[in-house]
Amino acid sequence: MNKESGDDMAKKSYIEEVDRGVYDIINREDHKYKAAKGLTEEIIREISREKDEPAWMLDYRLKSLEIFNAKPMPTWGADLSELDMDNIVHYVRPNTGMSTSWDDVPDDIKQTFDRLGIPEAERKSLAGVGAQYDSEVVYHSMRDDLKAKGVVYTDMDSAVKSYEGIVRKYFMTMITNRDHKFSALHGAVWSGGSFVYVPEGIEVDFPLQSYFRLNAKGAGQFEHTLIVVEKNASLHFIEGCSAPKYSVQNLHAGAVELFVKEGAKLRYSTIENWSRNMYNLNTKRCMVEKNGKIEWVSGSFGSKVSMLYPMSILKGEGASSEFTGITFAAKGQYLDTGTKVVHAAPNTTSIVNSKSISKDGGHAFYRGLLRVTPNAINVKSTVNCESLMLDNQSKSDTLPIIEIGNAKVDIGHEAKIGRISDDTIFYLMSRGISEAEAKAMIVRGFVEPITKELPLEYAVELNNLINLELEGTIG
Amino acid sequence: MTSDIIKIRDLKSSVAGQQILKGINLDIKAGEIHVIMGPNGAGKSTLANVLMGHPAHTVDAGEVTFMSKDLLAMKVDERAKTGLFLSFQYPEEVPGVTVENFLRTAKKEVAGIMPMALSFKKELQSNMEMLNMDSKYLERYLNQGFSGGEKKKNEILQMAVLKPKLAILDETDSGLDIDAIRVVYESVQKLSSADNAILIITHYNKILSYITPDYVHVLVDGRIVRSGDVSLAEEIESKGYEQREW
Amino acid sequence: MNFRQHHQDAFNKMETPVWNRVSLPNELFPKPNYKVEASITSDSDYVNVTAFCDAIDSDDSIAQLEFTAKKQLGPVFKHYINGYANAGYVVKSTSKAFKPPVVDIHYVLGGETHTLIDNHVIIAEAGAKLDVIIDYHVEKSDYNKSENTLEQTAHYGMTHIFAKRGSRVRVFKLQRLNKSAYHFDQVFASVEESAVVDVFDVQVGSQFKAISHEFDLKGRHSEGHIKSIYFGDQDSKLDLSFTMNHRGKKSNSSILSKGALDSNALKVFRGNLFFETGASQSVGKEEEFVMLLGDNIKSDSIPALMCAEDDVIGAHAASVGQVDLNKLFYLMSRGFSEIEAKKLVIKASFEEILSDVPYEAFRVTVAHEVDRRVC
Repeated sequence: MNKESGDDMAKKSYIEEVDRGVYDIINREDHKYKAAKGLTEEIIREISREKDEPAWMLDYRLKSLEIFNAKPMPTWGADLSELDMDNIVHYVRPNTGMSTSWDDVPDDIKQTFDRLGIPEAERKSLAGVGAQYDSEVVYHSMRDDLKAKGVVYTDMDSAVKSYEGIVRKYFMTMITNRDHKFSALHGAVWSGGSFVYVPEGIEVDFPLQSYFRLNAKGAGQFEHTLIVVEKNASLHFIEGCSAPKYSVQNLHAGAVELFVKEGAKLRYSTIENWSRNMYNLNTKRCMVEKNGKIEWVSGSFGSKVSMLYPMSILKGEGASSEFTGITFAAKGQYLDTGTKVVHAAPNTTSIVNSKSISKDGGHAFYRGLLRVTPNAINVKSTVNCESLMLDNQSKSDTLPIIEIGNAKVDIGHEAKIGRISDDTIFYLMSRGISEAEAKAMIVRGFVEPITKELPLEYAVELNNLINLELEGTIG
Repeated sequence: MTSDIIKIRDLKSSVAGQQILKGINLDIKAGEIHVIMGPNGAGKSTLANVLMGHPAHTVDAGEVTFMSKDLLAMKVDERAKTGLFLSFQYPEEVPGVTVENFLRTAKKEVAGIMPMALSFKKELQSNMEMLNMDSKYLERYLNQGFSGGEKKKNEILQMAVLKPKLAILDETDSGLDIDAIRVVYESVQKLSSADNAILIITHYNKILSYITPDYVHVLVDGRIVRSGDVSLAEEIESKGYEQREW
Repeated sequence: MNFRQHHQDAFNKMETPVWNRVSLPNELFPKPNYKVEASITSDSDYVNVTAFCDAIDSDDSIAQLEFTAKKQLGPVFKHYINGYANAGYVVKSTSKAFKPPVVDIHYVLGGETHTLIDNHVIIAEAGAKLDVIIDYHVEKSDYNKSENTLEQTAHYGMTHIFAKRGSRVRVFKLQRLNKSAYHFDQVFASVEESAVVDVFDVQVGSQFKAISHEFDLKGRHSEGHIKSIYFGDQDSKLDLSFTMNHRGKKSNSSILSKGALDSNALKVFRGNLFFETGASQSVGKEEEFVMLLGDNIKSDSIPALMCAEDDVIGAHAASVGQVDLNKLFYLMSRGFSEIEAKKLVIKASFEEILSDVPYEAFRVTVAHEVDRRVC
């Protein structure tokens, strides 16, 4: 194609930084307790004392600290050399206790969540909402009828005390403090997060939603989410994350452990829009028993660096997993995301659909693993990765590893990298649609398989985000 | 009293330095149906793409006046808004964008206002009925996984919705079975009126059984070498393009 | 210091590497005190063939062999082969005839020669054509001998291809050593403007085989294609790595691999497509098809698309699955034994690649080898 005459269509200009609007509003810091910089045994003991935890938890924290100190920084994937571990305050607790009435939440925190639409989200047909501000959960509520059925939705700190038996049975059994440096860190300093327990046979018909907000400068957020969906029960859980922009780096090293029992179903949706100075090193895993199903819907937009690979372990026969992910890497961002699926039982199936967009020097890296163990016969899996590059300052890499341990499998994989074709833009423009709108339309169409999986308010947010990102990219 | 839709004067174009159109002259007035025929590689599709403003083509010389405006100075979407329509030989697939959403957006752009949802849907449905299209196509992604015939019908559906002043149909018959060709051209005939015009590009003479052109042109090697009425098409049918008496 | 000495010194300072996915066998890197002669034929006056050992001292082009590859078997192999090569040729073509000249090289292992270390340099001058066939096999008399009565045979090889502007080079490699052999082979191709290089890689023998081919598509309109066929039988291990590095504008590449794994064979496939900034309007495709026959196989696929240029098309597809049981059943209902049916299905899957090989003898040999080895 003749590029010279195609100037009108190929022209690109760049915007410096997207106005993240309400996400960037910073509240005055007003904390009850702020741990000194860096990590020592003394800090760990203080955290545990503050939380009034049982002894086994303190022991686990101290063991994790030991492992954390012994393990080297990972050398693959993202460049973490700029991450100053000593400079990150591991535990920050806002100056308020947890409340179950929105009116009791302090005004400044309330305003933040109001801007983010959290209580509004609750009004709009959600079964329950939790909001975490810095390290602690500040607000939690759930519909009464679900409570009556025995569904538990509370913050992790309370759960350690009120549901100690369940927590002790599952807590950090799937993600252990030995897995990697940041899971060890998490084990040592974890704080807040959600605990959900859905008893056998209960179908939670509306999504439960949690929102994490990191406000303090240079702080770390290490929330732990533990969800157990018992036999034949079902749940949709939505997690949203954001942080305002500071010049100091923030670290997020949360852990999500999901247990899906026989015949149960869980959908776990995440929209992550951390500020662009955040190191998002999160670990998420799900164990699926016989005929159970996990569905991941994952959107990664924010952060400076992300390393995030939600993992499904299909442990029971007939278990299945579906992963739908979108990653949008703009200027200054390195987003290393993907998914891991382990087929550890016969007749298990998995589907992976991943899309990424990179622009303005952003680097999107898809890293995936699909493993079929020798005993897992009659496994079916398809993996699809599609990457869209909006300019040649950006980078896009795809590395899907497939490991197959027996012959009775049916595995298909496809990956594509490219940019928006000039012919497609021409086609849309020939119908009267402007170039800018044509491009936005194509990008929205590209992410449509993801947006259609999201609850409406998130889908709208995602579309706004894309419009914001694309504004000014067209000359 | 007829009014000019398009006036093409000495239009020359090239792709990657190679000249394709070598001086096209053509006038089309409201209410007319024109057919351009010619052998493969003559420049028929190029003419369509140059008029629509495809970025791969460079205009080297000539003038085109469309609805009293300088067509060549306009961007692609402006040409569409002014009333030019091209039914693509190979319509692009646009994943994630539904036919309905696309048509509504295009209609909004071309008409200048958002169409009323209910009446728009009604109009769509009656057009789809005419084209023998299932209304479930509205929910499908634009052209994705469509058969050749479905794509072409979808093009004519867009034409019906956008109501252009000049519709250029580029090899709309290629890849279609006889039934589909009949449906498509009968629809095109219905869409033709006293204040619009249609330019059909084809190498398939049989279309004359479904639509009656006012003028037939023969395009060979980047030039219109002969123009006439329907009888010219019949002559080509019997003699072929290889009879190069022109 | 001379070429060999330099590399021997470098080699002797290094330790045997440790590989993650496919562990290396013991007793690598013997130092043979003999040379191996190939049977070599050339059908053109415009092709010049020199023994590599002779060329080291006389030919300047050998000095360019310091190739900076993104992926390779490792520096130990490079220094070992450069330092201890006991075979290999420098083949240079200036032929612009319509039909490419053919250089046919056969290495036969057996008897006293059980270690082959070859170093090849294949050069096509501007606009020239060249086909090179390199066939590694054992003496026919060894075919039916029990493996443990044979000495450990091993091949370590390196081939550099320099395709100058507008040239066309095809290299056909066939490895059909005995079942317990080791085979290490790497190809580096440097492809200039409008040049085209095809490498056909057929692996049917050896217990351990590690292959690493990398193309540097540095010229505008340069093209590189790798077509790989393999059959992995009992206890065999295969590590395949194919890399296309797009640097020139409008460069074009494809990697197509078709394999069959039987018994407890292990295979790792690594396909890498790199698009560097500036390689605009380039197209790269990799496709892998694996047919699984044995119950205890292990098949890893690591396809990578690394892209720093937006105006490209990069695509990868992989399909791994059990041999079509319906097809086998159909053939058996027509009187084929299970083994015969398996052979047929495997050969059919190789056909897509073999049909592009213009040399009948090569195709027939591959078919024979499949027949001989599938059981």
